[in-house]
Amino acid sequence: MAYTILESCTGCTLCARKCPVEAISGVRKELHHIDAAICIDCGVCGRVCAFHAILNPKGREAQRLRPEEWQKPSWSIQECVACNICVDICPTGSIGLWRNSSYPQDKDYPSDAPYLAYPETCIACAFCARDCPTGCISMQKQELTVG
Amino acid sequence: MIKGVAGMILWVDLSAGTCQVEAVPESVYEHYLAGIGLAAYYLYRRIPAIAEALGPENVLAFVPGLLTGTGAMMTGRWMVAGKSPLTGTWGDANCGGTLAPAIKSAGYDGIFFSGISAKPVYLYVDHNRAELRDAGELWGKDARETETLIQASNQGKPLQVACIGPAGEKLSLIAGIVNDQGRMAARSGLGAVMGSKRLKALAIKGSHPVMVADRESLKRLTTSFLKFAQFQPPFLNGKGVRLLGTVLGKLPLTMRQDGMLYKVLLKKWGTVSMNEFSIQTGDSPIRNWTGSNLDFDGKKAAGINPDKLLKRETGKYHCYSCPIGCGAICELSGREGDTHRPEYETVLALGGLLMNEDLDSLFEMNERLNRAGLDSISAGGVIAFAIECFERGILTSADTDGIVLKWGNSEAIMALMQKIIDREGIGDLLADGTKLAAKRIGKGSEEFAVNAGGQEPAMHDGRADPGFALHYAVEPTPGRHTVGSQLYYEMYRLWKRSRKVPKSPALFFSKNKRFKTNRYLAGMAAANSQFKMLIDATGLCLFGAFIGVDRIPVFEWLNAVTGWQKSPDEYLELGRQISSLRQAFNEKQGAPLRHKLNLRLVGMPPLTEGINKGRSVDLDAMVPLYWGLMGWNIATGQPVTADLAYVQQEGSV
Repeated sequence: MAYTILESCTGCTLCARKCPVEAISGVRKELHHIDAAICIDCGVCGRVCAFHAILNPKGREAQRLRPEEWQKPSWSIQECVACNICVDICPTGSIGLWRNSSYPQDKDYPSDAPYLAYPETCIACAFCARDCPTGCISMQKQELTVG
Repeated sequence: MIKGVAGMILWVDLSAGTCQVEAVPESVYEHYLAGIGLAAYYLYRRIPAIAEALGPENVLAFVPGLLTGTGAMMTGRWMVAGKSPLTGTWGDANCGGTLAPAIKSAGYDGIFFSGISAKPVYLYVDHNRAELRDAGELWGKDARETETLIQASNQGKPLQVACIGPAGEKLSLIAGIVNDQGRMAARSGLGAVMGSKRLKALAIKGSHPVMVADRESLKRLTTSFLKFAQFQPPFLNGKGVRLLGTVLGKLPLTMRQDGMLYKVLLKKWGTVSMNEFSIQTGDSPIRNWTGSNLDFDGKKAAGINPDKLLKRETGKYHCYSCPIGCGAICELSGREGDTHRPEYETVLALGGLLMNEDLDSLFEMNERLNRAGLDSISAGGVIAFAIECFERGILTSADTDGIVLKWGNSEAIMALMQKIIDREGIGDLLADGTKLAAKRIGKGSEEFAVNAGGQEPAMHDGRADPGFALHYAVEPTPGRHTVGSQLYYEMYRLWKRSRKVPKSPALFFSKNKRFKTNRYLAGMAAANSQFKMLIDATGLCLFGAFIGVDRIPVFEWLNAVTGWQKSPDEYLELGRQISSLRQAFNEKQGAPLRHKLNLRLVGMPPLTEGINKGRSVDLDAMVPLYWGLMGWNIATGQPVTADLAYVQQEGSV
């Protein structure tokens, strides 16, 4: 399963630049291609494509979303068991540990708990929410706040 | 192909400077699962007989487990395996941290290194590429500096790094491999193998998904396990744990232990929760295995009370996929910087074993050993050996560059430790463990060189639990404390899932029962070995296994992940097959199948005071019983031909 690119691709290169695993190749102003063996189905190519040129693994056109509409993770921290699975699964390295943050440490937010350290690099793939064993991550369109 | 595995391994030929991907036949997983089983399969086949451990023929394998990355919890352990230069046998070491999921999500079930590089290199692996990079600038750097430097040149998803420090570069035979700023795969001297290959580090990241056959069942199992993992009554404190140890130590009866208690302690204090408890129950050796709880009691042991270590904590540390989080990041004292909290083994090897009660020195030594990449168990063992030699006049201050070695003198201990790290003066002589040190020193010092088959045993005393002594002698990796003991059997609770294993011990039973020779106790040891090889194939943490198989659903997770419908007994048989293969590896390498233990480890002569007074362990009768129950030749310990039929077939690999 993988995303694919249609003929309507204009070769703008945006998807290739956003792809976290370098699965997309192509020359500027020419049709791009997704390597199915490399693609991880994160869908960011479809979310950024302005030319309706990306099909999702089910063969349907992927919906473009303006970046401010993207849903990003938020943790119900009381339910989090600090297993770090979300930290590891994130393909862009956007999730960090609270103890490594520059925010003041807070007794209500365990030092070993995760948080969205780099909201700007989050591609809204939702892998973290999908794999969270306690279901404590919800994906929300949000003015990002921590905690 | 079954689910849960990548189906590929990466071979790195350091002599040629090449990386090649190899497909693993499905039948290999069916016979040996992944993790340590996969490593055993390829190492048995690819390392020629009587190979030089520090030569190009040795193969070093880094493997995550079958369950790593699937959503099963506490399965983030990685293992490194190769022929041990310390013992000449099968060598492996197990570590938590962050490397295991990185290998899996880079698309591999293992990374195997052969040959020797002409110049220092490190392996870089990401989602799409694997390449050797120059490590000239990293060579000579300590483990934390190395990781930080590699990370600094990386963008996007962080790299997970495993590396050697200066100890591995200097081929210290007690060197380990360090991950995540101070977690260490420390045993078996495999850091020296990495050093001999001029391989400074592995730096890995990737995002390949790990497939699961039945994700819903897996999630359901995980949710039910989390109830046990999160159960945490608040009533215990450090003194209470010590008191519990004192009571259990003094009673003529012993109580079958439940790993849930240990889980609760681990979550609060980490492994150091057992510091005083273990001294009180006789589990922890004192003064190079000649002392007892009476020598390191009261005020002395209070220096390492778990509550004192807790005060230094600045944050908890969880390995990948672990809800327990037995690690912590702690402040150093008297200087800037932090350190992973010293583990139980480190605190006791550099504490009670050396009669050292100076907690500041323990934190400092822990950090220096982590940075150098040196095994703290063996470091403690070899320092204890040196102090005893000094005490008996075999070594003098002329040999030690003026350091006056004395039990409990933390300054002298630290100075000697630094010499061992630097291989300077007397340190050069000691840096390869007690067995070689005694050989170099002579003068009858072998008597004080406490090792099992060349490796310093961990801080668990067979005179308190003879299961440890048995496993020190019969595991393919000598001196191994993380496979079995009678206590471990009680905590694994295998009888809850299998009718073939020995039944549950009574809730209370006489301590003398532990010292009998019978099929029941040998059966416990055999079941331990089989189960531990199974969990080392899955990547499960030993401390997870301690929670008990009726609570941590390792068999059920395996079925949900792979799509198999195997029974626990079938999985234990796979564990036995892995054990047989490691045993066959030793046979092929001309290594002993029963390891020689320093006589102190079996209580010859017995201690004359303390909780283990008068106790000795008779292994001569137990070993054949154990071998028989493992399905091996009862006289020689050789695995039977049928066990090796698959691995010895001519085939594609």
